[in-house]
Amino acid sequence: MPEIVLKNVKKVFGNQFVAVDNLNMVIEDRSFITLLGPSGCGKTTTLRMIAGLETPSQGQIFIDGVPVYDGEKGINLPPDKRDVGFLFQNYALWPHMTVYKNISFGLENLKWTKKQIEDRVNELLDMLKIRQFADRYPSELSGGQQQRVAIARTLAPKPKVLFMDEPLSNLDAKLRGEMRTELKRLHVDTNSTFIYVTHDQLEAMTLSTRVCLIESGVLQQFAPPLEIYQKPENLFVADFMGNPAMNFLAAKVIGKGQEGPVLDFHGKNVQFVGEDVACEPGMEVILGIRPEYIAITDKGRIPASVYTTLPTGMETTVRIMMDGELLSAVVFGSVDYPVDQEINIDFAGDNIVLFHKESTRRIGLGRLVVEG
Amino acid sequence: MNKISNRVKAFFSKPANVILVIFALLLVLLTLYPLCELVRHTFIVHATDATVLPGLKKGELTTASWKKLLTTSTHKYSWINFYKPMVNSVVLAALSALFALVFGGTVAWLVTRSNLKAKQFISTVFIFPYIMPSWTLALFWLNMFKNPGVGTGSPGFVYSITGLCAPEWFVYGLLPMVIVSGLHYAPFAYIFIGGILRNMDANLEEAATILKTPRWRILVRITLPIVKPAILSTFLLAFASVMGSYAVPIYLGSPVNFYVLTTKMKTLQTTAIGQAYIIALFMVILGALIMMANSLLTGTRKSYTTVTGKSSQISLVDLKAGNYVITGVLCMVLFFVCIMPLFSFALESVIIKAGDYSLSNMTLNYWFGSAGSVSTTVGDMGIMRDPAIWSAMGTSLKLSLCCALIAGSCGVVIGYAVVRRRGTRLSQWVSGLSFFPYLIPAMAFGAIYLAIASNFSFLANSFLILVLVGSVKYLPFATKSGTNAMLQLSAEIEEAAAIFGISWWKRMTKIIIPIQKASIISGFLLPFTSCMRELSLFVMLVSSKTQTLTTMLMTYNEKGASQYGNAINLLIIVLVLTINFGVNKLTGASIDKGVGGS
Amino acid sequence: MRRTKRGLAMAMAAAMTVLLSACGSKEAAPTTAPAETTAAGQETKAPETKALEGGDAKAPETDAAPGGDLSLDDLVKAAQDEAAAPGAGTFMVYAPTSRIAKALDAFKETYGIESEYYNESGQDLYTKLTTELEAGTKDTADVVLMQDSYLFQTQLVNYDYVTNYVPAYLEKDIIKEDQNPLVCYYYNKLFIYNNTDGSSGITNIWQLTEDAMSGKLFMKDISKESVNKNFLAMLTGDEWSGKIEAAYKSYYGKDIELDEDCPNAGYQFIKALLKNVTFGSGDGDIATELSNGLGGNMGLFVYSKLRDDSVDQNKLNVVAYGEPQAEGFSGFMYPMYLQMVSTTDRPYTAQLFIYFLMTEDGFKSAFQTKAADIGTYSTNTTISPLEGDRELTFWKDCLVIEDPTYLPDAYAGGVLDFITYCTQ
Repeated sequence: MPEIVLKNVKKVFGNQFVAVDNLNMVIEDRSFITLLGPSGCGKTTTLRMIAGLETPSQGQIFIDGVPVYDGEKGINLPPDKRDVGFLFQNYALWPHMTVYKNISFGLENLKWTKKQIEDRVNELLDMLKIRQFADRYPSELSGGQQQRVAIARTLAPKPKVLFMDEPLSNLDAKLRGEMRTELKRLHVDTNSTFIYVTHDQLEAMTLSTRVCLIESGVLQQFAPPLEIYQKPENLFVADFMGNPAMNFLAAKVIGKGQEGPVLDFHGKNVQFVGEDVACEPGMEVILGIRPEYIAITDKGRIPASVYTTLPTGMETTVRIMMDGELLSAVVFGSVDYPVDQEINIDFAGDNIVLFHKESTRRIGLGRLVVEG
Repeated sequence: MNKISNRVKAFFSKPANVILVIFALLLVLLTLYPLCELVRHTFIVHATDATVLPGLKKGELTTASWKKLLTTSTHKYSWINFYKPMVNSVVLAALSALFALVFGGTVAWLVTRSNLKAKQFISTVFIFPYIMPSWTLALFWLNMFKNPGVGTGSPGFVYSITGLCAPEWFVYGLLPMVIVSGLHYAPFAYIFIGGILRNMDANLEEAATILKTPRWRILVRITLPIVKPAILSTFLLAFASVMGSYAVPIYLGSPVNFYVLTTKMKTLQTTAIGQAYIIALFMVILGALIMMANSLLTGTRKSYTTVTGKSSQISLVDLKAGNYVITGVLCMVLFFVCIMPLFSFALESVIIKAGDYSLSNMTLNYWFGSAGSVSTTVGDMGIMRDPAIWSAMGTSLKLSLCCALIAGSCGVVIGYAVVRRRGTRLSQWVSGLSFFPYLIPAMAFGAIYLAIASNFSFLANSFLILVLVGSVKYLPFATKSGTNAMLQLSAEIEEAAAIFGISWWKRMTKIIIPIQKASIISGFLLPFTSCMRELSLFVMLVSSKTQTLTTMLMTYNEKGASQYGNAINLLIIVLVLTINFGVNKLTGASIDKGVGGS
Repeated sequence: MRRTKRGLAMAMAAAMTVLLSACGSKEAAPTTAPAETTAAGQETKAPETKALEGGDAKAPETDAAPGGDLSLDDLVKAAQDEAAAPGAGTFMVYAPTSRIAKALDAFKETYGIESEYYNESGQDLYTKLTTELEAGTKDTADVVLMQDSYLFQTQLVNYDYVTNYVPAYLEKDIIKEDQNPLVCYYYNKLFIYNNTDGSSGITNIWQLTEDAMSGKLFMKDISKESVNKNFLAMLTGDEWSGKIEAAYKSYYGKDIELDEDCPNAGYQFIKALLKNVTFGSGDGDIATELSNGLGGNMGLFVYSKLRDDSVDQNKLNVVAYGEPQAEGFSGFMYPMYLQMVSTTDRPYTAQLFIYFLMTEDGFKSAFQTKAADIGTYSTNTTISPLEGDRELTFWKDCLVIEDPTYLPDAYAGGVLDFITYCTQ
C-alpha cells in the first residue's frame, strides 16, 4: 500500500533561497493530508516535489517503499512513473479540447481499450455531474464546472495518490463549501491518498485526517487537525489554527504552587494546573487561550470591558478589553453587548496552553486557577 | 561514479535540459565560432590588405589593419573612414529610433486609448513599412522628391505634379534617412507599446481618474512609466537595426557623402577587407552593448508587473473636434508611406522614360513583353516571361519557407526550454546566445559563412548553405516570439499532461503547439518575411541555380534597369503582403503577435 | 612560394574541419576529405589529363598553350570527353555580368556541354572565388571573367590562381597587347552630357573642374563600383598626369601650380574634379536622370546605357565624338579578363570555352545580342563594332585604361586615401 515517506528533503532555489528545509514526514495510506501554511512557506514546493514536478536539492522520497527520489543515488522518477494525480490551482484544463477530450486524453496514453476509456469517462461525467457539458470547451464553463472537469480528469486514471494545489481558492464561498463536502466524499469513495495544499486553516480542519503545518520551509507540526488545534507545538501553530485566533497573554513564572507553577498575570497570581509542565521560576511565558475558553460571567474574577461585538447568528465573537489587552471570546448564540459595558470574565477549560516565550515552544497544557 | 551518472541521467531526463544543452552547443558553433573567425580576420593580411599595407604578405598575422584604421592622421584617414562614420551611425540610429518611438508610440496610444476613427485601417496599414524591404521607402522617397534642384535634376513625382522643388537636405542626407528608417521601425514601437497598453490593467488609470488626476498627468505619471520597459526595448532594438542597415544610407546618404559604418565597411571590403572586418567587429560590439543595456534596463522585476490584470473597459480619451483632423492627417500620412510606394513602384515599372507620366510613355512590356520587346542593357523581355525570374521566385519562396520552418521550430523549442528552466544559468546563456546573430551585420555574417562553407563541398554553392545562414540569422526573431508564446502559457497546462505520462513529443504537438498556434505561426512569419527581402546576407552565397528575387533585383538595379528593378520590388512586396495576409486570415497569426504584441 | 601557399590552405582547411566537424552532420567528414586533398596536392588530381597537358598549368606566363598542340576538333573532343567522364564536376564560370548565362546557353548549343555560372559584380565575386580556391572547394569556377585590373592582379594573378590561355586558333586575330593576360573585351565609360540647353560639351578636361560645373557632374559612387576608383587612381600615374599637365597648360596658358598634398597634376586634377562630382547610385539611373535633367549636366557612365529605352538619346551627346575631341581624355575603359582557373578539373572544357568566347559567335551570343549593345569591344579584331559605335583602337586613343601593374603601386602609395579625402 502506498505509504509516502520523506526523509531530510531540502529544496534550495537558484540564489540560495531555501524553500523547504530538512523535511521528514510519513504519509500513511488512504489518509487525507493537508499541507498548511501561509503563502510562500514552501507547501506547494513540497507537494510538487512529491509529485515529481520539482526536483529536490537533497533527501529521499519513497512512495510505496520505492525510492522515487534519492539525492545521494541520483534517482529521480518522472511524475508519470509515480502513479499520482494532480489537481492544479488554475485547473490547467486544455483550452483546445472539449470536456470529454480533456478527460479521455490522458487515458489514451495508458494502454486502455477504447471501450474502457469510454466507460471510465462516462463514469466520471456522472460521478461529477458534468455529463451535459461533455462537448463544451473549458472557456464555456463556469469556475465550478471547470473545477469538476479538472477533478474528473485527475481521477480518470485512478491514481493511488491524488495531489491538490489549492483547488478551491478560485471559487466563491458557497461553491467552496459544496466542493469541500464533495472532496471529502471523494476521498472515501476513491479509496486513495489525498495530499492537499491550502492556506485556509478551516479547509485543513474540516477536510484532513492529518495536517502538516509548515512555516518558512520548516515543518512545524504534523498531526490530526484536532490535535493541532488543542495541542499546538508552538506559538506559530497555535496562532495559525483557529478563527478567531487564540489569545496570547504574557505572564511570568514566579513560584511553585500546589498543583503547578504560579504565574504573575497582569498583577494577579494564577496557578497553572496541568501535567508535565516544564518551567521554572523567573521564566517568561505566554498563555494561549482559545476564545471559547474565555467565559463572560458575572462570577468571573477578572474585570474587563466590551470593545465590540461581532455576531454571526450561530455564535458571537466578543472582543474584550482587559487591562489594555484586546481578547477574543466566543459565545454561543446571538448576544449583543453595548460598547464599553463593564463585564467580568474567567478562563475555563483544560486546554489552555503554556508557551515558553523565548523558544515559543509549548511547555504545558492545562487549566488556570485564578488565586485570590 | 554511479552517483554522477545518475545525476547526469536525471538532468537529461528533462527535455528542457536536453534542448538547452543541444542548442548551447549548436549556437556556440553557429554564432560564437563565426564571431571568433571575425576577430581572427581582423588580424590577418588578406590579398587586398597586402597591397595597401606595404611590406606584408597575404596570410600573415598583423595589427597593421587596426593601426591603419584607428590611428592614421594622413589625409584624415581614420576620421573619414572610421570615427566620422561611427559618429554618423550613432547619430542616425539614435534619431531614427527616437522618431520611430515617438511616431509609433503616439499611434499606439491613439489606437488603444482614444476614440480615434478608422482604427482598423490604421492598425492594419501601420505595419506595412516593416513588412516591406527597407530600401523600398528610400527609393520611394527619391521617386517622390527628386527635382531639378538636386542631383542630376531629373523630376520626381511631386515636382512633376506640383512643380515644387524640395531642397537638397530634404531629399538626401540625415533628415530623410531619419524619416525613412524611423518609419521602417515605427511598427516596432507600435507593436510593443500598443501590446502593453492593451494588456495594461485599465484599473491603474481609472484609479487615478477617480482621484481627479488630469488626463495629461495620468499619461505622464502613470501610463508612461508603465510602458517604459517597452519604450526602452523599442528604442534599443530600433537603434541596433538602424546601425546595421545598409540600403537606406547607400541610397540617401552616399550621394551627399554621408557615410555610416555599414557603407564604409562595404567600401573597405574592396580595398582593405581586414579593416572592413574591424568595422564589422565594432558593430557587433556596439550591438552587444545595446543588448546589455537593454537587459539591464528592462530585465528588472518591473517589466513583469505590467502585463498582468484583466483588461476591463477603459473610457477612451475623447479627441473631440480634433478627432477628424488627427484621423485625417494620420490616414493621409499612412496612405503616403504605406500605400503610395506600391503605386509608385507599379507606375515606375511601366513608364519607359523617367518623369514622363503620359499614357503614351507607358508599357507593360517590362512585365509581360515577349523577347525583344524592350531594349535595356540587361534584359529584353518582361519579367513574368523570364524563366530566371520564376526560378528566382521559386528559390526565394522555398528558401524563406525552409528558414522560417527551421528558425521558427528552433525558436519554439528554445523558447520552451528557456521558459521552463527560467533563471538557470544555462537558460540565460542560450537565450543570450540566440540573440547574437542579430548583432552581426548581415554582410559580415555572409562572408564568414562563405569561408566556412568553402571547406565543405556539400555546402558550397548549395541551397543548404542559404538555408543554414538564413535560419541562424533569423533565429533571434523566432526565439523572441517562441519565448513570448511560452511565457503566456502556464507550466501547469503541460504538467497536467506530464502527470499522465504523456511523452514530451506528444505534449508539444498535442497540447502546447495547438494552444499557442497563432503565436507560434507568427514566429514563423517573421523569419519568412525577413528572408524574402534579405539581400546582403545571401549575395555571396548564391549560385546560378540559387538566385533569389533580391539578388536578381540587385543585378537589375546595378545595371540601371530601373523598370525591372521596380517591377521585382513590387513583386516581392506583393508576395510578402499576400502571404502575410493569407496566413493571418487562415490562422490568426500575424507579425505583430510574433514580436510580442497581441 | 606556391608550395607554402598550398600548405597554408591545407592547414586552414584542416583547422576548419576540426573546428566544424562537431557541427557538421555525418556526411561532413567523408566529404571534406577529398576537398582537403584537392587543396593540398593538385598534382595528385586527374593524373591522366595532367600528362597530356604537360607543364601548362604550372606555367601561367606562357601564352602559347600546349592545348594548341591539339587541333580544334581534338580540343572539342577532349572537352566533351571530360564532360562525359564519370565523376566530372560542374563546369562553372564566374563573371561580373548575368549575360554570361547566354554565352553558356550558346556554348551548350554548339558543343553540347552543360555548365553553370555565378554572377556578382563587385568585390564579392573575388571574395567568393579566392575563399573557395583557398579552401579547395570542388565546384568552384573553372573559367573566370573578371573586371577590375587591380583586384585581378592583386587577388588572382599574384597568387597564381588563374592561368592565361590564348587559343592558338585565334592568336593572330587577337590584339597582341591584350593577350597576356587575355582580355576578352573592354567596356567603356564616357563623359556624356545633356544638350538641351545647347551645350556643346567640353574641349579640355580642366573645364570639368571649374566652378560652373559644380554639382553638374555625375558618376557612380566610387565605393559601389571599383573600376571608377581605378580610373581616378590611373590619373596619378606618369602617363596621365603628364597629359593632364599638358592639358592644363594649353587651357590656362600657364604651368600648373601644385598644392602641397598633390604630388603631380593628376592629384591636383582629382582634387579639383571631385569637388564638382555628385555620386549616383548606378550608371543606369545616372543615364536616365541625365536625359531627364538639366541641360549642361555631365555624366560619366557606361556607353551602352545610351541605347536604353528609358534614356532619351537625342538629349545626350558623347564628349568623345566632339570635334575637336576634348584635350586630356574622354572617359575611361576597363578590360574584362578571361582566364582559366589554375586548379580547374576541366582544363579542356575551360580552353574550349575561352576559345568560344573569343570567336565572333561566342562573343555575339552574349555581349552583342542586339543593336543596343554598344560599348562592348572584343579584342578579336575580326569582330567589328556595332552600328554607330567606333573601333576599339579609337577608344584606346582617347580613354584612360587600367594598368594592372601601376594600380597596386598607386594604392600602396595611398592614392585611395587621397581620393576618399577629396570626396569629403
